Amino acid sequence: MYTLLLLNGGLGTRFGGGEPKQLVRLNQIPMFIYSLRAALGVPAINRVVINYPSGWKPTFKHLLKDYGLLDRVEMTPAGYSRQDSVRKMLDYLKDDKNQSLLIHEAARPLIEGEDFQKLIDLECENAGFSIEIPFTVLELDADKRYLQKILDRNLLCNVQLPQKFNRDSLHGAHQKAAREHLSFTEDASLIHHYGEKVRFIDGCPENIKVTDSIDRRIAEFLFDEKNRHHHA
Amino acid sequence: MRRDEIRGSVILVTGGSRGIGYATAVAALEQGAAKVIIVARASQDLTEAETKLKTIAKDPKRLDVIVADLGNSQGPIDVVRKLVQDKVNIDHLINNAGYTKPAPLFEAELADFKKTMGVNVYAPFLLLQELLRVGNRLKTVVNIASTAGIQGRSGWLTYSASKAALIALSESLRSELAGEGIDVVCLSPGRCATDLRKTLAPDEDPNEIMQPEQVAQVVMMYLTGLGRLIDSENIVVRS
Repeated sequence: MYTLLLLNGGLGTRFGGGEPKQLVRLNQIPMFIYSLRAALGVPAINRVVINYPSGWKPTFKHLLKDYGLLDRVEMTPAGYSRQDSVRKMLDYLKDDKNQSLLIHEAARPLIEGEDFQKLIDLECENAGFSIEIPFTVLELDADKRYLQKILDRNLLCNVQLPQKFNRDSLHGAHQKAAREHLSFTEDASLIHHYGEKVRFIDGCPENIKVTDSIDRRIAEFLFDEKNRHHHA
Repeated sequence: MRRDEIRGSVILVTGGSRGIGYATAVAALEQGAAKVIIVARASQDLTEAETKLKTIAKDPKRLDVIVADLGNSQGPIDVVRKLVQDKVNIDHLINNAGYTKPAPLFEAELADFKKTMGVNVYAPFLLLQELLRVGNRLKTVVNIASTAGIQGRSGWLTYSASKAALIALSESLRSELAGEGIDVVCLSPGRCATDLRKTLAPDEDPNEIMQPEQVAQVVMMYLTGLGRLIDSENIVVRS
């Protein structure tokens, strides 16, 4: 069986309004609810942990209760960064019976149960989704911003969540990274740095990350389209 | 067709002691529902309905009766609490219970208007909300509205307003629950030979108009795959 960690601790305020972006509503439903519903519909996922940004526990708890999810989801406080948050969640799960875990982020609400299932069905222990990069990617020098290198986009990929990991391997890698003060933007990079193999399979372009108001409009459009499809 | 047929399903009908609700309970049992639960206030009608439905059900496990007053907001909550206690999962929820006390504007009492809204609008809302919050996996919600909710008539203002609200509520729910895989059906019967109709139109001959059994057959059709093809908006059922 699998445990899902839902990253929900960010305090991104690009939407304005002074609220964490996970509370932004898509078709009036809070964004983080969509991922929880998708995950809880997957029989192989029997434990779900969500983190919350400092000071926002009552708000998230209240919403979980309203949506009938409070007794199916555990809550933990977020850390000072994404990486610290994941490490804290792994510490929290150190006695978990599940050896495998999935990591997803609330900002990708268009995820579906079958996407989680695709990762679960893969034989390898550490895996994630990627999609092609459709635009040119260049390397600049950080300082003066002169072009340094043309990157071959066929060798690069756009990393999407969710991802799947062996819990002990990921926890060990996180503890090493914390001791060595190394930071990574996501967990596949982190675990790879410490020698683990991570396989990527094709993701779905609709699994967008909702970070600003344009993304929100696109996400609402995609949800409407899905709903029409359900009704077609 | 994704939706299950009636056979083997669990169906809850509010206002199941009389009229369209009772006829729906009969039809569901006859068409092989695993269990039918009727909700109604305690009354002689309910006692008689229970006796007749038990005969049709044959197996006593196929019929449950929950006595509740859906006119106050605790009623629906108590119904769901009882279902949780009995570990029953509802597949199809038929919000049929209706109330009316027709009165022209100058005579209408706010208390009656509130009771009308309570039974006809708040009860379907509360039942559905509470069912989903406790994790009940629902396939269909059928809201029995009325043609009175589409076109008002003198003296029917409270009833018409409540049914218009139920139609609008159904439209919103349909959009909100589509992603959840829950189908929302809204039926608006025209004049139908029920006790409620007698209150609205006392001089009418009930034999001349649509019968509750006919509406019940339409409700049953909406619980089958065929109904899915025509459930995208409020549907008028009228003879």
